[in-house]
Amino acid sequence: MKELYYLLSFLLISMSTYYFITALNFVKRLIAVNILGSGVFLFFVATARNTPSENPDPVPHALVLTGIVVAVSATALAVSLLLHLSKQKEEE
Amino acid sequence: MLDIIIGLLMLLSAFASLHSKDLLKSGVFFVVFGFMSGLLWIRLSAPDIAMVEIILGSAITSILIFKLSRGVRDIAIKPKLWRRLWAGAGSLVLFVFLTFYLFTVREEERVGGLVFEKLSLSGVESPVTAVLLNFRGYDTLLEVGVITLAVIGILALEPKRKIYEWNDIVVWRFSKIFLPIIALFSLYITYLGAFSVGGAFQGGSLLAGGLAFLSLSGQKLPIRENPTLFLAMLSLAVFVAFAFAYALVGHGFLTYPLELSTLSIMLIEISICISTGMLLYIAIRGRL
Repeated sequence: MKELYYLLSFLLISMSTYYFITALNFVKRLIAVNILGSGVFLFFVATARNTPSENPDPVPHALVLTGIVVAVSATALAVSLLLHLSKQKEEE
Repeated sequence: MLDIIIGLLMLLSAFASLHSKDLLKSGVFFVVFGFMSGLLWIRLSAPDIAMVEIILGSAITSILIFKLSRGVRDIAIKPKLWRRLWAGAGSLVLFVFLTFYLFTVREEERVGGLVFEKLSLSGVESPVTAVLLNFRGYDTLLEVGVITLAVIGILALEPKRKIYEWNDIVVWRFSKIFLPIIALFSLYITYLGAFSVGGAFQGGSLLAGGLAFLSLSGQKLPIRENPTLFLAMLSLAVFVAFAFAYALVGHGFLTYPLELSTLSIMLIEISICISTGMLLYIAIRGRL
């Protein structure tokens, strides 16, 4: 049962890698990176649950919390950069 | 069983979001994906992550993606065959290599036991908050630094850009009524982080969600630009000030004395909550 979480995260990671390489659109690539991140977070949380004790391991939870906030701010920066780029292309 | 259904829905929505030709459709399926992963975090007994994921990962990322998909023109070039071939081969190899991990994985005690052992020394009762602000304080300090840097980059790029907005009077009135309640509730969630589920980033993302709703209506906060910037940079200043103050007294960088640890963690958490909200508000608007 617990292996299924790992399998889901691996599927998400490899699928979004494929679409990150093939998609030629910025928006699609940004979505692919975000889904890739979600897959990695799922791997961490599944690892945290994979202990014999009752409570899940809090250290991966804290790392994932940090990771989500950083991912959102990186996405915001990427959106700003891409909008700037497309505006510059239009002006040319 | 429920986990399998949620997992399948997650996989399907991710596939639909990545595969659909229409950018609007991809954004909508991405919202579904974020919500499903939030549900899965709850099933994996990680309610802290579920709160942040549903607000930040699903809602705010989608606002940003919609903003981008309106701003850039659609490039409808089909990828060439060789590109699809090597991408498919690469991701297949990646999947096979990752699947080998499943044969070595086993249940074992990890660092979590150490955290629960030392929890009484941290000053808070919630293990996740203890790890975030006491045991691994460096991580959180640098994380706040990273968000601040990202926002500085956004401000440096384009200060006068038009934002994605509805200009809707109903949304504005609605957010006018609910924003004070959301702000109060986010502070409560931050305070709750010392005892149970909650914490600075959960409260901060809730505040950012309320502010995102306000900025969607086309209005801005009735605060001038300099105080907004001050509030956004507040947490970095407070965090570094606490770290250096205790270092000068002789406790070491980011090492709180036991009797003052609850108070210091609380003050840092409240400043992180306010700053995360303001920083993400600036990030969504793209300017002050």
